Amino acid sequence: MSFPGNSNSARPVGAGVKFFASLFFLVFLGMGLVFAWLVAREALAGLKTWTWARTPCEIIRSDVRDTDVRGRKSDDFYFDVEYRYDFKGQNHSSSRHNLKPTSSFDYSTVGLLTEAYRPGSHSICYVNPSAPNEAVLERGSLLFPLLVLFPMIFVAIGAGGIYGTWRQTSPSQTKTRPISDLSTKAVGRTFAIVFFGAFAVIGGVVFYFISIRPLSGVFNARKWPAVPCTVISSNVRSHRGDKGSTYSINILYSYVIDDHTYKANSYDFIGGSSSGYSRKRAIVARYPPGSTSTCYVNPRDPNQAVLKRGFTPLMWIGLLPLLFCLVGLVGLTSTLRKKRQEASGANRSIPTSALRNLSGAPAQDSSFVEERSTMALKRGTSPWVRFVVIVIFALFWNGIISVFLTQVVKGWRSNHFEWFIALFLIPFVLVGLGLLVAIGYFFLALFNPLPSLSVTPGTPRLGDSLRVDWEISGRVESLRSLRVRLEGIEEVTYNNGNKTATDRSVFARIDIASITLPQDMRSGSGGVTVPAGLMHSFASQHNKIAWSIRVDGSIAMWPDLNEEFPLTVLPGRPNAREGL
Amino acid sequence: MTELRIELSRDCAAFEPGEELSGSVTWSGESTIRSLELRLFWFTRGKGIEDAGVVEKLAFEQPLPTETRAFRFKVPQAPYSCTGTLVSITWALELITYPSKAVTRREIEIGPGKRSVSLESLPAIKTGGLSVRVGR
Repeated sequence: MSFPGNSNSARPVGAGVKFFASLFFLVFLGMGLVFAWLVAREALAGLKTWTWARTPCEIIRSDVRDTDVRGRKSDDFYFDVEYRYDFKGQNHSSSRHNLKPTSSFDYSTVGLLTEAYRPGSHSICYVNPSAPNEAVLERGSLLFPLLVLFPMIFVAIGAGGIYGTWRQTSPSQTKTRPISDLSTKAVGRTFAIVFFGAFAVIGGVVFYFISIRPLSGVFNARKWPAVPCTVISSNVRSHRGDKGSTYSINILYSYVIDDHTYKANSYDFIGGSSSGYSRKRAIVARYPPGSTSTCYVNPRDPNQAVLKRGFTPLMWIGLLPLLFCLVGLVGLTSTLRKKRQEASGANRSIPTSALRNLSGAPAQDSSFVEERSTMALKRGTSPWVRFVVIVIFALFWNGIISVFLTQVVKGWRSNHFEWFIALFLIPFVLVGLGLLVAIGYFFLALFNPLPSLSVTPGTPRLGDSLRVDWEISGRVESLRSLRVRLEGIEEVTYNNGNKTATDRSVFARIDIASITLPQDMRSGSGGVTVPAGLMHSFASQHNKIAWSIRVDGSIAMWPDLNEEFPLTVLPGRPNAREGL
Repeated sequence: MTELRIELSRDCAAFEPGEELSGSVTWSGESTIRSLELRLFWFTRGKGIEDAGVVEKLAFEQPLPTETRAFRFKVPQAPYSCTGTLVSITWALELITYPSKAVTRREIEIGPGKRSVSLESLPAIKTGGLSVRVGR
């Protein structure tokens, strides 16, 4: 049996589409395999060091240098170490701390290693038994091989995509699936949980590193002693990236604690690099080489010091990942709540508000909550909710756009105007401006007259007479006209490309009151019969038949009044249906 | 090849809410069937993503390779069968074999007057916007 209206059956895909889909997935597969191979090669080399012989060694030399292994001047600091050891009766020496050169942009990270491996001290090194002149002080990380899982995601997407594209789905092989299985379908929800979960986790982790950690540093450093320090070198480091260069402050200074000289290059707690050269250059200019200043040193770890220990304006950027984290948490909570609601009221079709129990029992007449007395209706969406949502969205959108816009403006001011990026940004900037206009609109709408409604009976059945009482508070005199209507709509959620969209269609619209005299608007009542031959309220996960009472008013030079009050309409009375 | 059949006890496949829905199911041809299930459910068709809701299930355990068994359900009060512009709600009976999951289904109509409800789209009325009319 075929169901032309349902999309459960496979549709034939053209050869061209298959070809381009294969190319797309091939890129995923190829990139994934290359990265997987690179990670696997390094992981394997690291794991091999765990088979190397544990051997006592003596540190000959241990220092920090600002040149790489080839002796070229570098922005990073390298750990420079040399040690000697005896293996099978022969003397050897090595200068490898790890399999790869150990470096960091933070001096104190490398400085700590010089403390751990002081010249003249004895330590343990690991010697390759098949090449005894090869040795390391630290073996490869056992966690590093787990990194191979990341490129394997791309490999799986690529391979799975190619398999899915070319898999034979001839009609004879397509098995008819029970449609009723859709009632337990949860793929979309699983995707939403993973998507919002990833947002929350990644946002939270980034928020920790660029906000919580620096702030805790600022907090703890209040008790760090101030120590005189001498600037050794100072410059602005440039870091090239895909979207232009970023810059960081690099001031290397020395200080003495307990007759021992330490060095550090941390300016403040936020660290890292960002756009904006001139501000950093101005800071560096205040610390010329040879000058003396004050730094703040961690009494528990004298390798850790900063020149500025207070809050810096750059720390506000830390709020951006918090927004990501909040979006993820709100989405996750909402998805999980929906899942729980559906689990408790599985397969229901009447809106929750009209069900006496949520046990998932068949929708028999006894399970409806029929409210015959007067009931106050709740507004669909409060004007404040609309305003807050649009403000959050506009802040989020314009916050991201402003980062790129700042780059373009800076480029223009420094005669490096990037035309392509500027043209690319235009539609995004226009949306951002539109959002600002929307904020103004929804702000004005906050001061609109506020209607409140009550209906008798509270949950009418099809064919029932319904009495509607309204009261309007606030600036009623600003209303030029007022209409109260009963409206029935179909509402569906559908897939549109890679996102979901909602469509609505009105199937019933019945006037309850239409008023133009201001004195009649503040309060009033009207009656209407819910048409017996139409559909009762229905709500499933993606499809809805919904009834509401709409209050629409026009206001001169101001956003109009448009409020919706959802109403649950129950199926008709059995004895009334007999007369049909 | 399994042959599955759902027969209703009356010719007409339309029902009033609350009525009794009865008939028989027949299967034949496959000796590996461990059990069968008859489901009474609604599902949506149309522009939106399809939803479905099973309201009653009847299990047929220890089946013979070829057998006919009777069933009886009480027709639910809601939702009505309905045909709209964006969404249609359809009722059906579905017979599923386990573990092979062979399936057959039979559509029925549930509604007042044993008819499906028809919803027609009305033209949209523009609401919202900034009114710029000045004066009376």
